[in-house]
Amino acid sequence: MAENGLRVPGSSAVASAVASTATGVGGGSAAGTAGAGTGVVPTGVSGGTSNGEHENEHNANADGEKAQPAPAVQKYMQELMTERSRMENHFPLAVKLIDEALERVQLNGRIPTRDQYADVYQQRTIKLSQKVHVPIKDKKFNYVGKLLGPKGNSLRRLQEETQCKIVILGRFSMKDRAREEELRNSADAKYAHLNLPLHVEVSTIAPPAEAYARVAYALAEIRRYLTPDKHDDIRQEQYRELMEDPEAAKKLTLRQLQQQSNAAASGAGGGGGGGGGNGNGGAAGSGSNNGNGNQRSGGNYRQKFQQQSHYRHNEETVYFRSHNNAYHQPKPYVPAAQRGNAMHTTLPPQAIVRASPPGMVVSAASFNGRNAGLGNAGGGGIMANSIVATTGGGIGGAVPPNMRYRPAAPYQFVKK
Amino acid sequence: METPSEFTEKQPPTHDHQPRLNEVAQKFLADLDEERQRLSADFPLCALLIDEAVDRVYCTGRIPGKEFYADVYKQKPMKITQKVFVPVKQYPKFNFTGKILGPKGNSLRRLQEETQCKIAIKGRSSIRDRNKEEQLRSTGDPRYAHLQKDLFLEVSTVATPAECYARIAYALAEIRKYLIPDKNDEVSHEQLRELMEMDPESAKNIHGPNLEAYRSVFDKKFGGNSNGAPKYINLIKRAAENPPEVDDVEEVAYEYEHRMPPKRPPTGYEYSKPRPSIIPTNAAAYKRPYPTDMKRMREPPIKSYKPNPYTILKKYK
Repeated sequence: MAENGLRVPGSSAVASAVASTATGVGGGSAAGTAGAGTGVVPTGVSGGTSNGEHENEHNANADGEKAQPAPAVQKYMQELMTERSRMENHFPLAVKLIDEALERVQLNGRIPTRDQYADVYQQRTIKLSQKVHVPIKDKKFNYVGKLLGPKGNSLRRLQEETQCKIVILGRFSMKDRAREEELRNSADAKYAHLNLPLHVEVSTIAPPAEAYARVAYALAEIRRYLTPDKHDDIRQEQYRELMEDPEAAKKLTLRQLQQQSNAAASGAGGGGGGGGGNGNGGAAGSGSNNGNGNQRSGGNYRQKFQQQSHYRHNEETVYFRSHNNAYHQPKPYVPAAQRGNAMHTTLPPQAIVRASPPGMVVSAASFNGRNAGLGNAGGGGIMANSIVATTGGGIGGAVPPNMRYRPAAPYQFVKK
Repeated sequence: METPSEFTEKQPPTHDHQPRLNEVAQKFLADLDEERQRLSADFPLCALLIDEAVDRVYCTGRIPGKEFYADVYKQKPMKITQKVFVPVKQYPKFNFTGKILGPKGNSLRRLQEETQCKIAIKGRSSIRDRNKEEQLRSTGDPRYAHLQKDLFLEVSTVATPAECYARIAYALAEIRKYLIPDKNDEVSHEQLRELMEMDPESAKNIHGPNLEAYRSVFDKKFGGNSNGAPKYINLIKRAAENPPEVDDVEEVAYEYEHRMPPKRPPTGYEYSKPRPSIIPTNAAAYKRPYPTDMKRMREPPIKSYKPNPYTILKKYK
């Protein structure tokens, strides 16, 4: 009977301290157990890191359970065991009740009869514990890993925040399945929980109202960790926290590569696929970002190009308008009557040609080009120029060449 | 629901608070009873466990064992029952039941509505009628087995796990006020005030030291003359009968005397004002002849000399 260890109510920190102390002392069984746990290679869909942390957590609890319960509780348990052994098969319900009582004593460390009443008047502390069923219908999701977080930090933080002790118990709660099977087969009382389905035990010690409030808060928080979603806020935070550690990042990368290779080889693997998907998603994201940058820069370049083209268009427009103005000036000066007179005489054109041969040549060439561009008749243009010279007289004849010559240069420049 | 209280009328007890037992629970209870009978005296702990199991089934209406797990993910509703210890042994003469129930059970009903929990008073002296309680206790009915124990409260609620625990927490925090054995605290005062509003006659019948604070000052029985009039009224009458006229006359005379003096100074001031105004006029008149004499030596002095004497004469006349 004395061999049966009970879980002493206390914080996980104390349990961890006890575990570290035991490891330091170098107890054979404790050291062997820890060594075995750490030495075993991780297998299965679940992540090694998280399961490793859970393994440590469980070892801590086991070490904590080595403490002996109160003598009254020991006596009570002995009496229960005695009655159970002396009982025959004709009392199945009684046997069941005894088993339940034993289980409750092991969990609470107290005789169950006495803790049914809450002493509200004197604000006496009570031990309140509640088991939470973990839905494992979706067997591919790693609930334990999500609850623990990287290196068990999520669970530890949750315990500190809610001031409750939160333990993961039941089947599939250990990293090493073989060792779990071995412990389940053994008739050890402290490993009896392995026969039960996977569940989370929330317990706290406090005055009645405070205790119930804490458990309420803990249950509300735990529900978020029991959602089988790999991309929710909690999982993202855990992933970010994990990537901050370079060693963990390396291990994760290696594991993802291994899982991808395994998936490629076997063509299956939910966890590996999930991890690969995450990586691919990240790469795709970065690629899309690069694409966006390219598009943005392209847009900028196009805008600049458009601006330049616009500038050129403005230049053409300005020149074209000035040309129109210069061209329209001579027309109003020539009435129809005078035009008729000029057409019938042959002296004025000859006089003009003789007076300014170089100007005439240059102006004629440029003028013809302009008219051709504008779609006007060449003859009409020549006649207009001659008429202007006649009306102006000798001095007038000298002025036209200058006017004609000046706008020609810019036009040629634009053509170039 | 039992409704024992000194302030409330006698009501027949109802069995609505007992949860309904389904066939499985009934069969379970029958099997437990059978095993209990077949057990010999050599198994005391088993007997205790069986009794506890029976009590738990009657309280929760479910077979023990399935109530341990809370399905948090699916938000499946669950039932939690918590028994609260009442310090009866420490304060045997205090009426905890009456304080918890309040006038006509209103305090308990309001508490249940506020906390959304079912709060039942169970145990010894939880029923108003002592004879009836004794009869029920002697019947040996399992549903009334709680009468064998000391007085206690049973707080229970049905809700999703987190909500369930939150409600119980709130209920336990509120119940503590009603478990303090003090007749002069806030809760008792509120209950007494409520009782006076509901039924003033019954409130008057209660003879307690606290009632003195609520006695009306204008009550005839409270400090007055043999005539029945309050002392204050007598004092007023005495003051009114003896010296009223003399007092009034004195006041009037005083006011009359007080009003006379302020009228005289302004009169004096008005009378004295015109005096300084005359002097400058004379000075001006005296000063004028000198410039007149100076002006005679010039050509225009003749014109300026004539009007001056007329001016002086007019003023004097």
